[in-house]
Amino acid sequence: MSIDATREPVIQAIDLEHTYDNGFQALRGIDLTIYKGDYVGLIGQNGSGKTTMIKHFNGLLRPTKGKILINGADATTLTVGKIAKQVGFVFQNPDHQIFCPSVREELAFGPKNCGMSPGEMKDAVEDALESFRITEFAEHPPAILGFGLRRKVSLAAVYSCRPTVFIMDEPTVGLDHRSARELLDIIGELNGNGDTIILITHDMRVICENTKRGIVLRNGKLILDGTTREVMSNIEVLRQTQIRPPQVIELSKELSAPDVAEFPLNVDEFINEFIKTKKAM
Amino acid sequence: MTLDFYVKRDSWMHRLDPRVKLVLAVVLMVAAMLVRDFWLNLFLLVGMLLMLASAQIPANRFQWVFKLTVPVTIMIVILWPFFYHSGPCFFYVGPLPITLGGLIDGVAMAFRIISLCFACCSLLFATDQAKIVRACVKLGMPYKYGLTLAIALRYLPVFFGIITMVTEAQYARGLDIPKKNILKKLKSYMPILTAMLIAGLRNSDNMSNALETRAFGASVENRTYYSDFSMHSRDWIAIAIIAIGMAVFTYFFVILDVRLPNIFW
Repeated sequence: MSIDATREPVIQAIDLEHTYDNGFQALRGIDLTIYKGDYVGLIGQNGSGKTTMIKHFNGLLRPTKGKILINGADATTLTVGKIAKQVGFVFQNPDHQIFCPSVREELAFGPKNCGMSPGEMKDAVEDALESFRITEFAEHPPAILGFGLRRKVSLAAVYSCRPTVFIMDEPTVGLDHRSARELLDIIGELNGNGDTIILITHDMRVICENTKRGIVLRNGKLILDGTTREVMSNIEVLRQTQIRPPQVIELSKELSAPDVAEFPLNVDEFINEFIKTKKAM
Repeated sequence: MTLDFYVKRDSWMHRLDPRVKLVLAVVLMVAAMLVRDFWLNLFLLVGMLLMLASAQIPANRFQWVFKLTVPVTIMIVILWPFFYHSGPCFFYVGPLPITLGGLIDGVAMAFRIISLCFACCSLLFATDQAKIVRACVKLGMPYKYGLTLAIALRYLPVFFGIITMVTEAQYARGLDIPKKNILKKLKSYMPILTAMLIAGLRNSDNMSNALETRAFGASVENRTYYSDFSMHSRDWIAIAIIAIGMAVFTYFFVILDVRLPNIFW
């Protein structure tokens, strides 16, 4: 996507390259701008550079070449702790961050680090409990909650720092359909309130039903970047990187070659499109 | 970070029965601890280095051991002369004379530490971890303990991986480890350690379930092994050489108490 001057960029990668100590070059010149309010689905095979890229977005990794700007500031001048106030990062495994005796304290850990006053902190924690619908578990020890709840706690614990950008690594993995749906609804609400979301997932249905923008990485290079509809309609390019879009997309491609603007991303859209075409015939 | 010491090669040491190497390592360690003399210490260390080199252990492993021991050895060389005195005196630090003998003895002690490390490594570099455990079991260790040891060794790198991930996850929530204040620094590690512990316990629980679902403990006496080994003639020869070496050493330096000439003063 070319740079959009009308929107406010939150994260910018400029010719970003990263080579690990063992000589493996994970990123090869990434130019990317994430705008405020974006809902990005980040797609790519294992080893394509997704994780390496997003670790630059919160300062866990530093570019070996190129630059990262976070809200206009060069990321190398900021510590990970400072970036955490702006960019929240939710790791794949909730057990890698849960350590407090109660959910409430778990959610207060981030705000404490960010230097919130006790009043602000109380509000932030209550807001997080409510937003993630876990108020009834506030006094429970998070480590012994079920997996779905632990996942929610880990998201809420990042949310309570009040960042405006959320990076989530496979947030729906291991969840049943209902829990996944509920979590995605909450994430959708965050995005509706103006927060920026970057979602990593291998689940193409999650991408198609939720995100607005798709980014595809392969071998450390950005090979597709556009609206989710544009990206998903590029079946040939996706196939090169071993990604198969949901069947409904393949089906509509087989039936006809619709314009990108009308490309159905999910079953509902497909049905609508199908009925419309049928009536016109 | 990787903690697998094993270097896969096809040398005389690699081919030896792990039990023989276990014995060799123990003998070398005991020798390193008994030997006090500067020249004998040097001889032991150089001997071990030559042995490992002949077993095709690459130079970077040697460097690694030396690097690891540098802080301790430097400390010993500096501190030893304060507490051991013999030979000509250089100068006094308060009431304590710093002597040539003390310094040489300190260097010998430093050699001893390095020798101890290389004695362990002679086993670890040239033997697959699984085989070391197997050797322990063959020498009479109960299989359960052997397996525990094997799992512990196997999971060390995994654990370091978890440490990295937990640390990153807590950093991403704004955890800042203060550089200066030690007390605060220790306290700020709590989130990492607690999360580690919980993750570790969860792992071990899963692991034990996985083991039991694969019939662990079903037959203790009659279990069979995928890779087994037995003593060959070369192993008996090695044992004989070790025994002769031990006998000669004990005869000359323990029974006859031969002192090597002091050429320093």
